[in-house]
Amino acid sequence: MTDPTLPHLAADSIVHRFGTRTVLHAAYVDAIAGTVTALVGQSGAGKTTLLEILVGLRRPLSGQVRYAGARVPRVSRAALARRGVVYVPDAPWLSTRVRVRPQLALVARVWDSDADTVARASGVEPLLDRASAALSSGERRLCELAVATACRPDAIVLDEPFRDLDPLHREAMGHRLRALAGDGVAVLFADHDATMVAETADRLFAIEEGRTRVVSDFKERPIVEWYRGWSGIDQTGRRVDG
Amino acid sequence: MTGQRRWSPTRAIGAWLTSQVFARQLGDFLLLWMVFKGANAFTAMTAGLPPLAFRPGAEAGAFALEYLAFLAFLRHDREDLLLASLGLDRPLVLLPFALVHAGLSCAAATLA
Repeated sequence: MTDPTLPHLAADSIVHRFGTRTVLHAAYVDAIAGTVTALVGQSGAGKTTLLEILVGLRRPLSGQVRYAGARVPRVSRAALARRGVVYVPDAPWLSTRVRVRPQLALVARVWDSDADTVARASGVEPLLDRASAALSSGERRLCELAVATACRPDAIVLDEPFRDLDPLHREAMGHRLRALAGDGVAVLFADHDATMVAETADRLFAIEEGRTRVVSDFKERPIVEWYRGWSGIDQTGRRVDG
Repeated sequence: MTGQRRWSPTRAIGAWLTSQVFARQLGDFLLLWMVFKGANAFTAMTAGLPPLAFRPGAEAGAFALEYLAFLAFLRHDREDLLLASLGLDRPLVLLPFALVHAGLSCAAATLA
């Protein structure tokens, strides 16, 4: 039995480089069961890289990744699923030529979950008989989350779940992520949507110049102020520092 | 929702092999087999060999190419990620198609 207060997933002291550019310097991020954790940072700050390292899809230059306290080397996506970790990338990941229903049913059958219950809880019942290629971004994102939920994950990691969503789909996505955390899932996502981050997350990590820090006052202070602080750019687009 | 999740390779493969997703993939693979079988038969004929005979080396080469093309199809249709979410690693995904290839090639050689 693992301690529920310990991170289910953690990437610690991560250093990563693309060519000569070091994007992550001793970065840290984790996901705790029953909570929603958000990761924010400017474009190119290394959010996706850190998530990919956390879920084992990219090997860091140094640092370690732990699942349920155990240090693990790089794993395949399939091995990750077997460990109870589902990664939902920002790119589409449902089959483009089969309707949503058989895909959800297939995943539910493998993981012994109830496809109808998952579809109802995810609010995607009206979308089940459509091909994923025929769905809007928001509908597709919700369907992907439903399929990911059917895997009965212990942890779910999402890259930009709110991107391109209209207000109703954003609200539905936020509600669904909260519900998953309520069911005990460790939810971690990276996104730029400051409003949804503030509404959805319990904890916030911010990446700045390759280092992460915990932001504790993100519910009180608009996240956009953090972005301005990092970039040195004011609301008119002018550089205010240096 | 979480906890007590058990993954069984038998159940995962069984669910996949009886799904619509696999039926579509099998259709793609059969097309690829026909294309590569045709190319193999043509090469054999030009070399003066029986076109549909089962030659293990040629079959292994053809299967490798079929599988690479098939993986490209899977990626294009986003089904590599779906299969991974079932806990199925590449070797497990390869297995049924290797059997289909060998079975069809043996059948073609017998009929010829």
